[in-house]
Amino acid sequence: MALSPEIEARIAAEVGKYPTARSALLPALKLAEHEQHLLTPETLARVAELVGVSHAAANELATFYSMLATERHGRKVVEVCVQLPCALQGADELLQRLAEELGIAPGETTADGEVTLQRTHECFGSCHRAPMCLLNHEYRENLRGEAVERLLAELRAPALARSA
Amino acid sequence: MDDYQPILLAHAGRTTPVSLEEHGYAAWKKVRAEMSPDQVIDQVKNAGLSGRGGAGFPTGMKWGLIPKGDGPKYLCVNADESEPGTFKDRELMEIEPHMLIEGVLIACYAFGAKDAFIYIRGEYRVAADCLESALAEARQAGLLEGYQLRVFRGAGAYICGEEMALMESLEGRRPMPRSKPPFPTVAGLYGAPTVINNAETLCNVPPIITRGADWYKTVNPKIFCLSGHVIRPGNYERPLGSLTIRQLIEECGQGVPGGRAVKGVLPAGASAPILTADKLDTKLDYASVAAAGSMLGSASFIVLDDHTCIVRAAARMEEFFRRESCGKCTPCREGTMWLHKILLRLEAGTGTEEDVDMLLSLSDQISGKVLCALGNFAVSPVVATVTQFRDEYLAHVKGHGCPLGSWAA
Repeated sequence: MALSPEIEARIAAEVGKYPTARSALLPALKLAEHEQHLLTPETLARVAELVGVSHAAANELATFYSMLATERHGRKVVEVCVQLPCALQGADELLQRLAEELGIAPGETTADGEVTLQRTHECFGSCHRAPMCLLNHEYRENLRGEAVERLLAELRAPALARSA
Repeated sequence: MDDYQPILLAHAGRTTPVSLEEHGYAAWKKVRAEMSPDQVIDQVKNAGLSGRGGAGFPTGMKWGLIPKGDGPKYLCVNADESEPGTFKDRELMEIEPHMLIEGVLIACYAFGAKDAFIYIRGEYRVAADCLESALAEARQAGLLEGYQLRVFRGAGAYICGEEMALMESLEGRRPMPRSKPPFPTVAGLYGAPTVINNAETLCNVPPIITRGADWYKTVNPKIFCLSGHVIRPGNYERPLGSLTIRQLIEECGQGVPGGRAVKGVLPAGASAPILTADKLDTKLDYASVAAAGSMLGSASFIVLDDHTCIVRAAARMEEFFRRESCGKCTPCREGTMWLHKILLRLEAGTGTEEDVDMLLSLSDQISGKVLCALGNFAVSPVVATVTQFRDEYLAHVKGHGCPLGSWAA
């Protein structure tokens, strides 16, 4: 799928913002990913062209940063933090509960393509509101009791708008 | 110190950011009306402000290292906060965006930069949005005249908190540390002289200007992040050296759930050696924590109660370093993978006594043999736990598994 004219224009505007065009590469990739939800080789080539760098330069960023998706995923991506502060507050048990309810193992996507469940070692800076997860990059914190049920209801709901 | 009035977290608990009018920008107005750049640097030097990101380098001295004269110079604000257990800059930016912007402006004025980049981790969208709105307000009010302040959002990489990797990221290259020297003050962002300061550090600058260096020295505020096995986790601001680790846990954190005993405390997330319970009366300042055998670093305290399996905790922290190693230096890239694998088999009860020793010899082949501090810190969870809890490691070997069982509170 080609990038929309609006996103192409926003990428072009990014290029003029920095002392070097290449500084716009990461912002440009984020814009493209936000629209397409996935950075395919074709999308990477187009972004590289717009910024004025090589395809390889775009590829090496896309495959490095965890927030840039280069592999297919569900419409809802749940990333459960299991790093130490969250683990001490029951993150492993939370992950297990979500896996059971969704009927998939961490790293997998439900058969209908709706939900991808990720176990992440990364700390998201919510250690005082542990355990937590990101749902399409939005914070869901203090995941105990009712909060877990609300999260499960969100995952089962038919549509979830992706946030900017 | 329960009557302490916070300076950085004066508005803690608010759900909306402090507005431009509420903040007032008194320090920035005073700097522009009454002070020369050198006077600003001297005042920050006299206040004794040191970097709050972890390394503790004197802030005024760093500003003073930038050569005088024309030519591009940059300020990078490190708001990439990704150390496990650290969540102070997030709260500061979500509640006090103008305090940070004011600190950025004063720093730029002091060493002659016109351009500043606030590098904020990609996950902190709310904080980044707060900063962008505050920047728009400040621009509207004419406070940014002559200066260009930009928010740059990361995309998920611990290494971007390393100063050289952060600059690589800003330049659009794969974020990997550069060899030093040259240091950033000589050749940093785009090859120009660059100061990089942590977000909390810069938030300390406005009160130093308005209330003076002598006042500041008597307070020296620091935010302590408290998480893990405590009843009330959160950010607590106290003067450096005014309380002990025990007071932080018991008075701020309301103690350990279930009245359990503390097994150990990590004073700077996964990067600092664990301190055992006999060190709880250590005062919370850089020198005292160092003398106790660890480091205060970013002051992110993770508390482990006496039911916590130390092998499992070490394995979880090492998993972080393994996955977040940028891969540039072979000892870190390969070594953290092996450390994690060995820890996992020890945790599962299939490890040997030789494995325990191998953890130490492997660590010795990583530490000091890599380009950046993150690589050096990657062995902390291993070395500190093996040396201080060797019996627990050996119990996993002899008992073919964990003697403690579960680990959640």
